[in-house]
Amino acid sequence: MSETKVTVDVRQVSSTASIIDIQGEVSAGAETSLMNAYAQIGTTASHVIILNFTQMEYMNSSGIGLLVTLLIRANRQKQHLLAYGLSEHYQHIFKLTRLSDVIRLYDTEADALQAGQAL
Amino acid sequence: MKQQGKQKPRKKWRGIGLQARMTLSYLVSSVLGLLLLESLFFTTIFVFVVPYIQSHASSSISRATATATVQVSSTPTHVVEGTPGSKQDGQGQIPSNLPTIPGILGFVLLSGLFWLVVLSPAGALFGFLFTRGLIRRIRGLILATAQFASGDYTRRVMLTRRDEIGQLEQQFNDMAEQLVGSIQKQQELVEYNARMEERARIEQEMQTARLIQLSLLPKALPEVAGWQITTHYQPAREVGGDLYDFIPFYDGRLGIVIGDVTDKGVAAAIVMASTRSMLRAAAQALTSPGEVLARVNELLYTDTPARMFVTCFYAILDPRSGNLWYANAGHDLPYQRADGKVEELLATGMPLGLLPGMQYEEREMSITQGECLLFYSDGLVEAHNGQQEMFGFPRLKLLLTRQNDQDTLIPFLLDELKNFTGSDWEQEDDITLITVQRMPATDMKKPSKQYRPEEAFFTWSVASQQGNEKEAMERVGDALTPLGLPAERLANLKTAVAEGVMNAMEHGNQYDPEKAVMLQVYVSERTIIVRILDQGEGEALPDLDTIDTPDLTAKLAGLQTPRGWGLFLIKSLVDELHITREEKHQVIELVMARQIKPECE
Repeated sequence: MSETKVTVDVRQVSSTASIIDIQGEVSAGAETSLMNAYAQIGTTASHVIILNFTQMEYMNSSGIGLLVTLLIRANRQKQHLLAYGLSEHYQHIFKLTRLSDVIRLYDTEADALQAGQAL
Repeated sequence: MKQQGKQKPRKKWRGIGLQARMTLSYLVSSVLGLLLLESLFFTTIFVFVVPYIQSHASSSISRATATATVQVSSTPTHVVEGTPGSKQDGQGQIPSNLPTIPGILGFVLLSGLFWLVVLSPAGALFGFLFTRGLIRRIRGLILATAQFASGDYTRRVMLTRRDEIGQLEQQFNDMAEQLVGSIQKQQELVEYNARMEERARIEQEMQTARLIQLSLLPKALPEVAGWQITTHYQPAREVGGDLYDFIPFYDGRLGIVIGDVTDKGVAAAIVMASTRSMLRAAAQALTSPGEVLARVNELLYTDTPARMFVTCFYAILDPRSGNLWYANAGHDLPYQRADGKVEELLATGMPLGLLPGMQYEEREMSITQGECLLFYSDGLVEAHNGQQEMFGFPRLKLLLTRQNDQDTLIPFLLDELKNFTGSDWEQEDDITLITVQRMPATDMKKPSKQYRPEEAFFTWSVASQQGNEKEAMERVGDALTPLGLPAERLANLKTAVAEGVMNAMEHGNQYDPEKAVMLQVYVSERTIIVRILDQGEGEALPDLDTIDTPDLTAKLAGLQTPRGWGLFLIKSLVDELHITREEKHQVIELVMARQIKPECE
């Protein structure tokens, strides 16, 4: 199995919101990193989780599956998932799969944060 | 110089003038005759009589009584009386009764004067009588000419004697006949030209109307993956105002318009042009068919005369889902045929342009594979045969149930129409037919052609290991970049390639690194085809019919696996997807059109 190049970081920006920065590929091989990142947040009180896709290079259907899994978990914890920085192509994919209905998309971090505060 | 006035009747003056001249000439000639006579007499006296008298006077006076009688050749005869003073006395003296020369002269003159007085009126009278008939005939000609010239072309002169005047009379009549004939011919020519011009003008108007109409009808059929659309348009002799249009939307949906303008000719063509433009504009601005029709109705209501309106059926087809969303403004209901059953697309509303403030009900229905729709205009159903029967809706519906080959539906209907109306049928109204069929799934499984890898534009293969799909995707992307696909479509194709390769690796090759996934790219003028082949020993690929939109909600509820997006994504990102089975491989075939299909103008 070739290495999946992905880097996932977590930033807590406020008491209620955290940002997961994703760099590289969101495919099957990103599962571990992504789930670990989520687990990290789980220990805090954040109920708004913002996914930063600005550095994401590639995502495939497995990656979508991952996001769905993430969503399921977040829903259980009554957490909201938002995202920003998706390229147009992947925005299109999100729309096709209706993911954009459930994970709201924003252009910038500031927009996402602002939206998150309202939640 | 006085103009000879055409209508000024100076003829009378002329007539008298001629008459007077001729009379006068007779008079003058008689006077001249008299004068001639006188001079002859005079000469005779001098030459013969006077010397005779003189010679006799010297010889014998006794023979003095000399009565000279001179006969003049022409009447009147006049007798010279004995000279005054002559006495028949027989005396031997110089006879005093011998005429003296002055006496003779005086006598001549006096008698000449006498006869002048007698002759002149006689001559004049004679002249007048003689010339009167002539003048009358000439006057007749003058009158006839004047009357003819002032428009009485029936005027002729009576033929009198066969002399020169008679000839003139005959020629007058001949000329009159000829003139009448040529005037008539000219009249006919003028009328003929006027008729020809009128006909040409009408023909020109019809040509213009037809040109307008043709230029607005779609010039090409829309090509929609998985669907077949055919049309037939047959205008009547007098331009009837049928309208149909295909409006492509950016998201891949297709608007279908069919309509019919009342009235004929240039007016109908213009209203059709307006309606088409309004529909196109409204369709881009508004999403729902009912709203589009309502908007166009308002615009047409203000713009068209009271008696003109447009029937219109407007539908939006989503080719990927097969959904049809439609509304109707008084147009004939289209038919849906599925499994030999024929249903009407029931939506009603008032024709456009008739009343303001209309609302149009919307309906939705779904077209599955193998089903087809028929849109038509009333030129078909209202066609009459020799017995004044109408083709009619029931007949059309029946024919649709009987025939079941989509490809020949339109020729079949046209054939039936011809049988119904007979061969020398004058088409009354435009005939428009549109069929829309969703291709049966079985079609997709047949490999459409034999592919030869040596003819491929590009080939590649990757080992079936996770992550290799990315490399495959990039390679194919790089190879295709020079072809100039729009960036978004290329990105879609690349993602589809990645997903296809992943599928082949995981399911087809079970992630066996020994097994390769092969890629072949074929490029033609109109399409790019990417074929992804596994080694054929793994799981069979699912039926394309079963690839539904994954249900996110169900997944979120834990009712479905979070995965299963691959084939759906592929299907959504490319124009056509085919899954075929070859001897040694399963093949996922991705088809992308190189040009996005019309702007069907």
